[in-house]
Amino acid sequence: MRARGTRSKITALSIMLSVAFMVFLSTMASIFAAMTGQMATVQTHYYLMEIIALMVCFVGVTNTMLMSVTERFKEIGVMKCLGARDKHVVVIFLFEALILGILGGVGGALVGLGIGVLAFGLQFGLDLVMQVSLQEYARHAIAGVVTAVLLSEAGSLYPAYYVARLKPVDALRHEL
Amino acid sequence: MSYEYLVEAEGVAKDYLLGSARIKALEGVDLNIGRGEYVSIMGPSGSGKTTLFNMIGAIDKPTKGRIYVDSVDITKLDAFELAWLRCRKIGYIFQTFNLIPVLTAVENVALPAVFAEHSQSESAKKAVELLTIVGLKERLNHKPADLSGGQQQRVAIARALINDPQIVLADEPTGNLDLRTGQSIISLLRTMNKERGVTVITATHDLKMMGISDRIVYLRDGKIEREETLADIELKGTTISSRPV
Repeated sequence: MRARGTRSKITALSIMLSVAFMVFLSTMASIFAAMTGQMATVQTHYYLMEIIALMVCFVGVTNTMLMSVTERFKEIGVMKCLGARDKHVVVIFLFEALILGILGGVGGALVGLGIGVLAFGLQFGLDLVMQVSLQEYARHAIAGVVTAVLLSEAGSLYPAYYVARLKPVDALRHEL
Repeated sequence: MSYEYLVEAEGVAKDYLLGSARIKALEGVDLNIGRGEYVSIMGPSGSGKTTLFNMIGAIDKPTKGRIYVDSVDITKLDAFELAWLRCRKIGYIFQTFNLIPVLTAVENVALPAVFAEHSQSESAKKAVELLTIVGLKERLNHKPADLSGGQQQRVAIARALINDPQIVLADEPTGNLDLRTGQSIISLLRTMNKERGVTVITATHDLKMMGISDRIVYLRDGKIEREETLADIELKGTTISSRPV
């Protein structure tokens, strides 16, 4: 149980870091735009870095969820004996992924925004970072949370589908 | 096939592949179990008890033969229909209790009702009623880690009964319990069998089961070796001292 909790915390942390990076880049683009008076655009190489960070996170989530379902084969077998259908099992894992996504996303959005605002505020003055509207910061934060949830759900789809299709007798026989 | 039996197994065989070797776990088992009967399946390890159990419980399919549960040939059902059958007609009790560790006693008991898509309030109410019947009124919100083995098995019995199944399958229900607790679990199963009319089928090594079962089926090497009724056992006088308290 403790190992499962630790694994979930690490997954949420990895989602948080990826989203923090993404939100930081968006925040930086908005602050640079306020400085130069141009439209906020994230440069291509930043996009690439962001995509790589999100892909690493996606693989991490999938790996963690696969470990999690393997560890819980017997529990899934028991649930199937009690009448759980494939959809119930999928819903359980996707719900877990949703919680991890929301936690990681909210944490990541706050950290990304915080670091962006603080770093540029200290460097160029708070007046500059205040030129960016609150709505724009909120938009970056919401985009971060939505990305985290989508990332977490996408990374959990295959493990959830895989475990849901297990025959109850095979799941019950499984010993770690 | 007749309607007086709740479970009918006809020529049930099950083979497993172990590497290139074919293992015959069951070899043509014929068994009929009546409604409301309390049947114990006994036999040494490797005799095919659990395999037969899995077949009757719709969690595995035979290689050959037919199994009828409530006059439905379950070997022909698809995964969805089998899940429906397991949910509504069969209750399971495991040797290792297999409660969900993160859920409380009430939540564990209510879980099969959630799978049956009953309302949450109705499921919780019924779970509380059942836990009260099995003597755990004071332990409703305890998690499995906070319950003793006997208490966990009582939760498992309540969980098995939540959807009013026709059959309760108990695989070595006393295997992980001490003598006294095991006897109280057997008594509870017998009470449920008598009061609720639910058919109880247990796979067991436990000789205490002999004194309370309507019938004992002895399995050996994947075949039924012999069957004994309670009357046969009492005539032999073998189990009077081991009757549950």
